[in-house]
Amino acid sequence: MTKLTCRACAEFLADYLSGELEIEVRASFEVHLDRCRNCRCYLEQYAAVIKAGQTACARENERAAPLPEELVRAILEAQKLR
Amino acid sequence: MAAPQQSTADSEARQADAVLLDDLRAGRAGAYEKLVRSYGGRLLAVARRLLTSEEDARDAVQEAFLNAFKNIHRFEGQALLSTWLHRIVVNVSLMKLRSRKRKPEESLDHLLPAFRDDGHFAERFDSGSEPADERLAREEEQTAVRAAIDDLPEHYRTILLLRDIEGIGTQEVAEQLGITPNAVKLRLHRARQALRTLLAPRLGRPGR
Repeated sequence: MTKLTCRACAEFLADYLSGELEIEVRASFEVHLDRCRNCRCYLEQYAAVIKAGQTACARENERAAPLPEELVRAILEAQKLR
Repeated sequence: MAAPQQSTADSEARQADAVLLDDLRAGRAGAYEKLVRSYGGRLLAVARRLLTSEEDARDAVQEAFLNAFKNIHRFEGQALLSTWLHRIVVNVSLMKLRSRKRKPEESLDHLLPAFRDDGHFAERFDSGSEPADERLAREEEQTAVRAAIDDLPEHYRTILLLRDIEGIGTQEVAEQLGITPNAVKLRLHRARQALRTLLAPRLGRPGR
């Protein structure tokens, strides 16, 4: 099993989270993670900001104001002209 | 019990879609307006995120609805109307991004983690007492999270938005942006790392 550095682990984070790491690399990654508190913390924060972005934008969508009236009118007028 | 609730919401949305689709295809009065008023606000939020310019975002929403009206007979109802419209506004926004004068790519290196010669992180991260995802999910952190995304250089922000927020696949993003799938994956990873650095002070941990 290859011994990974923190630098190598950091490069594998995206593939690890998406389940795209090859089995052997994943095993090495998880061994490193098990032993390295700093990498576990970095992984936690990396995953957290992905989720945070999704949550913030989902809330933004849910709370979106109605389309400005002038834009509604412009769209309907443009459709009539087609 | 989230799944049954989701299923009920999905079923209700499909029923509402079916009624609206019938009205649209039959050309009934008010159907187009109902579509625009029902979905326009969310589509404008998506376009604003991708284009950042209010004028461009409004143009994109208008163009998206006109495309949707034109192609409504092709919509087969396999996806929700909201999903179909979302894809249209994303595609229109991407066309607008592509038509802009290409800016030189900004460096992101100052927001990436540093390493010592032995391969260890140069910085120590503190997991704190509260899980990072719970802390960032707090209502009062939402503005900071959105601002941090907007602070990313455009080349990285666009890919983060398309992949993580709008849910477009790597291959499709690569095709739409004319870059390789590996370049998409690399930029997405860099963008997430930069976002983590920008949000590090919110986590009560040392930034860089």
